[in-house]
Amino acid sequence: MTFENNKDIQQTKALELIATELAKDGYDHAGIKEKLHQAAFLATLESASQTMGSRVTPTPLFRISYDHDSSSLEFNFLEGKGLVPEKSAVDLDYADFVFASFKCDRVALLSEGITGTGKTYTLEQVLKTVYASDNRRGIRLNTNMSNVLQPYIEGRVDPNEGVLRININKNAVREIAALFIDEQNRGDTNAILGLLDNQVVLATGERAELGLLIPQIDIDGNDVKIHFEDEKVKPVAVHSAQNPPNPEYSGARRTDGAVGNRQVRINYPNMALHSGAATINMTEQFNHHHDNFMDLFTTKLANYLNIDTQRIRKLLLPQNSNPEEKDRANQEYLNIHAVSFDPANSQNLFLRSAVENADHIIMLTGGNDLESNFNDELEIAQQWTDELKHYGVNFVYNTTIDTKSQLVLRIEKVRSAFNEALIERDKTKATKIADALALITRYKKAYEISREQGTSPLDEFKGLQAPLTVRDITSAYAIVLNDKVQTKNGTSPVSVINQAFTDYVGLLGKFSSKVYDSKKKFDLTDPNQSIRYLCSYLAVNAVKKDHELKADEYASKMIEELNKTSSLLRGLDDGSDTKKLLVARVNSDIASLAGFIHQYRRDIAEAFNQVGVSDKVMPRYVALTDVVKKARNEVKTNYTLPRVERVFGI
Amino acid sequence: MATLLLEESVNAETIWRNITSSQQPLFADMPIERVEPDPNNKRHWMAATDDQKIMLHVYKPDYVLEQFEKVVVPIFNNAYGFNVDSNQKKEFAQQLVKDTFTYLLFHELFHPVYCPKSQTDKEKFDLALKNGIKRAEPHLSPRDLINKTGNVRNAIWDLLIDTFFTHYSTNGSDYDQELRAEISKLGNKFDNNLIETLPDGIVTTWDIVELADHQPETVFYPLTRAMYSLLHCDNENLRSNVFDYFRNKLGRKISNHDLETAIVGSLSGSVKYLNKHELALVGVDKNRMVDSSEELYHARDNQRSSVARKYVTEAITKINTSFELRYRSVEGIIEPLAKYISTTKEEKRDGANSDGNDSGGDEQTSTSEEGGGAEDTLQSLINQNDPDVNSMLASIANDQSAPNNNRNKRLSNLAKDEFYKRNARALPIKSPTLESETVVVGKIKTPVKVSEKLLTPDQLHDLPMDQIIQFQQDTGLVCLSRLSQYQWKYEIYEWHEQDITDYQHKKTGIILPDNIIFRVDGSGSMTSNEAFVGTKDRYDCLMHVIYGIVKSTAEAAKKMNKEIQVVGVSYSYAGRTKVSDPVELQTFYDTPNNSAKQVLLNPEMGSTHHDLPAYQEAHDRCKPGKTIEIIVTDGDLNTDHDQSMTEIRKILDTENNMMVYFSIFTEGTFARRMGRLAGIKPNLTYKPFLSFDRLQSVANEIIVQYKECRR
Repeated sequence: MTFENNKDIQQTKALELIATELAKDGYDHAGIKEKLHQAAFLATLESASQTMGSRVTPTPLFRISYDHDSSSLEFNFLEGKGLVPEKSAVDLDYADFVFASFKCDRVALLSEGITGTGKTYTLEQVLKTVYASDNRRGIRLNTNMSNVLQPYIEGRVDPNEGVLRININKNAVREIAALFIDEQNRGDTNAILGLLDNQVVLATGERAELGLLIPQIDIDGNDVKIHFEDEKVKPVAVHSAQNPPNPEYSGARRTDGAVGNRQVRINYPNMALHSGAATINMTEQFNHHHDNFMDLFTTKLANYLNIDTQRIRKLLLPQNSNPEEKDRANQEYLNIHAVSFDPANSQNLFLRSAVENADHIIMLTGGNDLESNFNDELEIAQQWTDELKHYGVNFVYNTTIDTKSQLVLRIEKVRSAFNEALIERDKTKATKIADALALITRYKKAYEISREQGTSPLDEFKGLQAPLTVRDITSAYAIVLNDKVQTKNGTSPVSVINQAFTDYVGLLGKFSSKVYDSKKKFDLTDPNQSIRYLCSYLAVNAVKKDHELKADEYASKMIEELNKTSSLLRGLDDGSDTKKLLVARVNSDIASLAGFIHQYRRDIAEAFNQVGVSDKVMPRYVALTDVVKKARNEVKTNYTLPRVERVFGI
Repeated sequence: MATLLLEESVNAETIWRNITSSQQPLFADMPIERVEPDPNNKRHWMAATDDQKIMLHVYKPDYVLEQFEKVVVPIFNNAYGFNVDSNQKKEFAQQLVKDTFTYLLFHELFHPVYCPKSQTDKEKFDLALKNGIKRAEPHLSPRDLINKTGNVRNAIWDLLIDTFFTHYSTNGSDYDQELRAEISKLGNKFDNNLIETLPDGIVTTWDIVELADHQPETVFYPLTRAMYSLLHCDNENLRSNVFDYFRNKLGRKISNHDLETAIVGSLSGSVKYLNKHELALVGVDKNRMVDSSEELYHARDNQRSSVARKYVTEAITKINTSFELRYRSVEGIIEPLAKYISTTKEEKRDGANSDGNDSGGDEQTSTSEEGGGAEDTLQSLINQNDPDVNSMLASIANDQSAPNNNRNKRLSNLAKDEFYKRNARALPIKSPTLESETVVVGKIKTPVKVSEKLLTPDQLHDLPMDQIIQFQQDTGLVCLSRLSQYQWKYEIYEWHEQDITDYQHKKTGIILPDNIIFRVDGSGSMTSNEAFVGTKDRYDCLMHVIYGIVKSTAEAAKKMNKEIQVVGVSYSYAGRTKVSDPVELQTFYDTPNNSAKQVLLNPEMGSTHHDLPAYQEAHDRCKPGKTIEIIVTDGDLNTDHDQSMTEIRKILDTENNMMVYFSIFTEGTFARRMGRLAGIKPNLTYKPFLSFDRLQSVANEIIVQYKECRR
């Protein structure tokens, strides 16, 4: 399908104006995109909050706390209770997730709660505010109506053949930005699978990607051009609501597993008590949410971008009540919205410590059981030891885990409550949620600082841009794993995630302290804190001053250093079964790095000799990273390579 | 009025829970159980855990506070690093009680976290203790060896975890930092001195109170408390004072030389059976550990020994948190202490325990468990396949020496039980018949039409068209059809799952009845004393028959998931026939001290008097269904044969009953009558075995059938 000739979407004058003005102010291509997406995002948040403030009561869902002094992390389910703010904590409410879902890649919310709590109402209010009626759809499922593709299909009976013809409605595919499915589990939950994957597929084989096309900005000096590409689409935000699948709600079924693992289930709390009488004067009588929103949005956007408000408003607001004019203005808005809410803008890299901690969470919650996870790691270390015996190394981790220990039994109890094993999609989902959490945390902090110090939220928001941390990924896993718990038999995956964090921070602290021979504390935002990084760094450090060594000589020195760090690491498990899992995993990754160094010793030597001798480790560290990256793109002969990539965080 | 010491207990929990949330998150939700004060309780306080909750019971808070004021405060006056004014004695005592509670909560937490952290850990620990004690006292009888091991296990678990706690809560470790943060947060002060952490030596306060107003009943308890003073008090004055306190409690029960040998030997014993290389892997130097143990003891009142103390606690922690080293370390720790362990009393913290039925002191598991640690210990050795067990079982089973108390009886029963489990040959009872049975070979899903609708063309848009097309493709069933230009028919189907069944014929094999009644002859002719285990005498032979049958039946019942009840009947003196409660077969087989085994394993050794009501009483205790009676006896009855035969006929004439009669060693008149009856009654099987060897060589299986079947 091609949309290049669609006149409606080519209303990009506002976008051109903004890009041109920013270019005049000296912003380059990346700068323009960054400024626009940050300004439009904040303007959307503020305008939507202002529009909905008198209509919707906030629904706090989670509190994430991190105490830098004690390196302690806490994730709490608030269940609608508003707590007194804490300096080290960020509270997230339901609307935050909806806003974040517009900006992040396919964060599909499934709100589950008893009837009458406002889950449908709140979501509808946000959608009504941010999108005009043509750009959002709501469908309600029941036993006879489970065709969730309805908004996207055209059906007609062919008068000549008497045959029913179904086709994709090409306009709907590109104009619907958000879709709301109410009573999801009263219909066929399987049916929404395609939508959650951002596509509509008919039985006839016809298919289309869903969502708004993202305008692409080209800049040549001060000359700005906008074009569209079919594959650059801002995915449609698909949100659902349902009653719990209890006998109390006849017809409400359990969500299909394949659907469930694509959605973020929010246990929507009953707010009646918490909001109390605060909702008495709230009314739904004022409609025109989107008009009010646009009125505020245009002003705020212009202010943030330092562009004449009237010029922006003229392009983004309809200048008369003519339907074509309304469509034009709306399309101008959608193009700005699509650019600034492009998920590519919110995808951040993870810090090394975040990757390592996530890996340990996966070790504790994934696989068949902890013992086999552990034994797999031991086997890798044993095999590399055998393979590298001519270097005189020993990576063998000579220990066992007690599968009946109270600690392991408690973890297995949580694991047994999962409705299915941890799968690859859960990891992807956690990454997306981590993105959303980081985004929410970032704008919350930006507004908090701005309120406190009288600064611009936009400046603060920009300044807080940073890679994702342990806090983000850990909280994301708390949400993902909580979704997987089918029966809450007194178990909470949060305790397992906290255990992973405690293990990781403890081992990292001990290992770093031993390496540096002084007490080292975990720092959430330090990009260099990582056990694997430290090991690989030490290996390169061992040869940083060596000049023109032969391949075997470089390999020998580096592998010997890795052997030492492995030995040090293996003595730091404190007898804790979960820490042993972490040690075993890191240890076999280090052993795999040693194996990689042996296998690629010629490439490494060549790269090191090209870099030359230095007092600094990083030049050769970067060279080694490049060798790993290159190996990644070669025909595979070593399937422990992902472990080596994990060491380098690539 | 607020309960005395409740606030201290709650504050301690707050500190504990906050730290546990970050240090041991998976245990942070363990509930703390408290009780109302109870002046009539034997104990003044109690701390324990069952691994799921922590019990922090203070029965007599006024007594506890009084003892703290009177005994602990004077010793701990300087323990927070500053001197507390004597007019603040009461507040200071309350502070110490609170900090003792905090320590106790961590102590109970450390049991499931560190020791014993699993059933396997517990069993290996028992094995290590047994080995250490046996090495120190090679001439102990097996029963005393097991009793000593069982009596000391709790104390050595405690010794380890308390050492871990001291190491982890000091020296800038994670617990130390968090304790400082949490305790400082409370802002408790004396004069202008802020309480910032737990006081030095807090691990010893409980024991000081325990012995405040009574003398210890064993040597082991105060001796190891003297060791505690060395391990847990950093300040030399405090260390010396606490040591002297416990030394005085020991009085003349032990000489200074023996005390030194025991304590230094035990501390340095933690590395005795470990080599230098493996110690180096956990950062411990063997020679330094031995030297530090010596120095700690001899220079306990000197500041220089503080370095040695730190080294010893750190080394014990590092070694004993490593499971590759723990058990050999425990062997070395217990060896020098072995001779001081009581064979009759559990060495719990109050040092004044009785027969295993007392609840009190500090314990990791339920204290009310009959048989206590000794029974658990023997079970541990059995589970761990300890090579010593085979030679120990008969000795423990047949040990009739004093004290012949309940726990020794239970220990003996466990030994008997295990002996026969190991040595009896399986003796399956089989059926000769073929039966047919239905089997489910799979499931099939079929579409079932549940309703239909007539629709106009404009209503078609509401239909799930993609599903309809898919369904039609999958099944070939047309569910949407055009009836006319203006009308369509929509038929709605649902998928229903059904069983696919088949039949198979097979020999039913081992008979799995609903009930088994064992009727045994507990008369003096069967055995003259209780030491029958492994003797090849008649009762020994009888037990082989019973365990042989149970072994094969229990295994088959487990596979078939069948519940069978067992009732034991033991005949002896007139009016003293014992009829057990019904016990589920698997429980009957697995546990040594259930009601049926109590009856069967402990013959009265009187006459062979068949109390007639016992025939029916056993059946009254059975559940409805098929019942097998197993009768094992020698000789004749002391009671009227005809009356017994009448009762037996009644049983055999009842539908679903069958009987196997084993006549062992001699075939008396009654036995021969049973043999003749077996020729008439198809549901009676008669098996005479004239010797133990004959039983072992001939009896492979028994074929029997119920009354309704024809032979």
